[in-house]
Amino acid sequence: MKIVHYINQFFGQIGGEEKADYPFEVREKIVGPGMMLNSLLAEENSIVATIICGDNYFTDHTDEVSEKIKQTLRDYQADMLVAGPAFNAGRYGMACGGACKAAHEMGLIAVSGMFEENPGLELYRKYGYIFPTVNNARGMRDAMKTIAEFINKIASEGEQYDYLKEGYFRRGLRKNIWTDSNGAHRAVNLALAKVRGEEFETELEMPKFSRVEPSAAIKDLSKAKIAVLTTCGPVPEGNPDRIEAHAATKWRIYKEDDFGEDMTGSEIAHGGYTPVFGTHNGNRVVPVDAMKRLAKEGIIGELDENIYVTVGNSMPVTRAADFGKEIAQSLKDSNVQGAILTSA
Amino acid sequence: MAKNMAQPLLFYSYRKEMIFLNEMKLDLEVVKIKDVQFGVRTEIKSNVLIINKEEMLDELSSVKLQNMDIDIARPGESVRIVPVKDVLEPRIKVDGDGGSFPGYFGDIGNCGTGVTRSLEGCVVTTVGKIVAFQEGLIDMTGPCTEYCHHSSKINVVVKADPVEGVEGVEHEEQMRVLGVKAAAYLAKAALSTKPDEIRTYETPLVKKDLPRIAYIYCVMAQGLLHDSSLYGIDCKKIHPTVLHPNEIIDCALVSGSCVTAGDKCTTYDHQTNPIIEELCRRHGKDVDFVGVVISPICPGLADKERCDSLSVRMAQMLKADGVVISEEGGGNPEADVMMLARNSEKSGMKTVVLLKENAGWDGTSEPITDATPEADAAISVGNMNMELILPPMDRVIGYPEALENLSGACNPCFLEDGSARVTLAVVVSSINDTGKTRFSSRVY
Repeated sequence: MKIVHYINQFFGQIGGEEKADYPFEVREKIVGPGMMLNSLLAEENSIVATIICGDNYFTDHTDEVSEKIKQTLRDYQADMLVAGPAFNAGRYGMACGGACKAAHEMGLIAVSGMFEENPGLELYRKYGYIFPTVNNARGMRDAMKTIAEFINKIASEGEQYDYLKEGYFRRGLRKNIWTDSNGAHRAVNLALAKVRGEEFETELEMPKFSRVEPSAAIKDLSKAKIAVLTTCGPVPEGNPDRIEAHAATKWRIYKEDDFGEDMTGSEIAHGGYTPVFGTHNGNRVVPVDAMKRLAKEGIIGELDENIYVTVGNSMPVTRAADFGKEIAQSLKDSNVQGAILTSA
Repeated sequence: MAKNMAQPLLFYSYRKEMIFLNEMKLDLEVVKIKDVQFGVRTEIKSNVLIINKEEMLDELSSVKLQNMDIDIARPGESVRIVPVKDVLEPRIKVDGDGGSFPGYFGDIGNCGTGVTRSLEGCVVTTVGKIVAFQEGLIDMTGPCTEYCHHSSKINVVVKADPVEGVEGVEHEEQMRVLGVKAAAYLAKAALSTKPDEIRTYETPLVKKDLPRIAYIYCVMAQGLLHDSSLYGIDCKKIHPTVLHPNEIIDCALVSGSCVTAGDKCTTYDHQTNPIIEELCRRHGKDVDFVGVVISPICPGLADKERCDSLSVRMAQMLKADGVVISEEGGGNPEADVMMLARNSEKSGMKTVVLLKENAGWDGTSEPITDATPEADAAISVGNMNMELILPPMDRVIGYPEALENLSGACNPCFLEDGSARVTLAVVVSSINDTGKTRFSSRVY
């Protein structure tokens, strides 16, 4: 396995707190704690490059550094990123977590080590195998030994999903697996265990959803700019942006004109309901006609020219939340005071 | 004037306990099909189903359908079937009126009792573009087969297009009836052969004190082509209904659903529902299976509340100690499952739910869209967002271009070498909520 190692300015031997603004740098060699790690790795696994970045620089330039990390991983055709370990250094932990996230987003394995109270753990545990360490660098040898053993294991046996056995912090990710018996059999066993008052274990813990606080009511609707948003997936003929029918990966802004005269050029990209009503009649799923009438009658001030479109069919909740943030920002940027969201 | 005299019932007090549910017995006579071929006469010879294609096409013809064709796809062949609407197992009554799929071509009166013959190892698969995005795919070889139980069957594929002017609901109905007709036609061949195995389904009165389990079977009734039919009646138009498990095995439920292929129940999945199989198998051993409640999944809140209240009340009337609830589809139906779980637990019944997940390709997202603390015992049938690369097949039955528009196809879908990037959502029945496979998902 080809490994890229991420460390901060301190472990990169650049300097301490006064060098925390040290910018992103790639060295095609093994630096600092990487020496120990590399010596513990099996022959076929090795560090091919080291990234050094100041902790403050990472925090202040997260997007830029993440992009550069991805580029480095591509340049070296890396299979894996190892970050830190960060022990209990908070900003370093955040940077190691961010580096793991960049690798994860490319579908690569990321491994790190942190003290259980490091704030980087809670924020980034999903994105990498993060092993517990003591709270200071005196635990370096133990941490590197654990990390090296784990790397050697996944290099020969593939990814390891038993967090209790392997010892990394539970990532909280879902992974498809094959079990010993079919779902119906397991369901009846579970029902019997509950009826008999025995111990039982769910396969799917109920998620807790965050709630969004509604904004204050619009004081004067007749002066307000209102936008229409939809997850019903009306798209211009031919679906030019290829918005997916299921678990869509994008949202788009269209104008009324994109849909042809009276929205008759619309097509439905949503794969979860019958498209017959919205096909060639986009107004039925996103009420531009009704909103224009309300504007004409003076009930609303004006209709925003932007029509926000995505497909809500089986969209993962985290992605929907990201889209929500991005769309909210866009609405704010165009001084929209209120929005109507239609869904299917 | 002649007076009628009522005969006293023997063992009156005993009979009172024997509710009608416990008196049904069904012998499913299984004919195992090893191959399917076209020939001069539709018949079964040494476990080979021979089809007179012309006669079958005649039998299936409808003035509202055109370009009809029948094809055969066998396990292991490099064949892709797309876009798939439904999959059905041919079954027919041997006694009574000799019908099949009661409500369509058979009498409802004897459904679930007597003798039914089935053709195991082959299925009828209907193909055609109905709602552009919402059909599915079956590959007969390659990675798809690992997740699709229909890939291991010999698929008798019936393809048809609507004539000009037939669209939407009418098109769906035509294709649904086409599948039922084709299955009924092939099943007739089973009457003149001997079964290989007889499976008896009954849930006699249990005298031991075993946990009483009811099955709340959620079925699509959302309209907009997301429908199911019970005895030929659209489930949007029914209240929740108590059925004997044998009625489901005897084809009372037919899929009319064009929802995402991965997590819907095809008619085959209804006929062979594994929860019913499991509870029947364990009845009298460690379970007292008290019955099935069909609970329609409707999109509006008032209907959800109606179906929730009535379904849970029926489970209580069956004196269930516990209920198993399965979902069909995802997203909106999760609200139904959570309401049923909450209400069942509050009514004193221990509850288990079966759910599928949309946890993102990397498993980082919340896997479901609604939750309730009472659903503390859930079976996961897997994460539907998992990606698959499907290699090109030598032959495609249906419309190959439909693949990239299927609900669950990735973007871009077709890769340079002709492979297709999809999620499990496009694979018919792959993430079906009735728990047919050993597939699941865990947190790590």
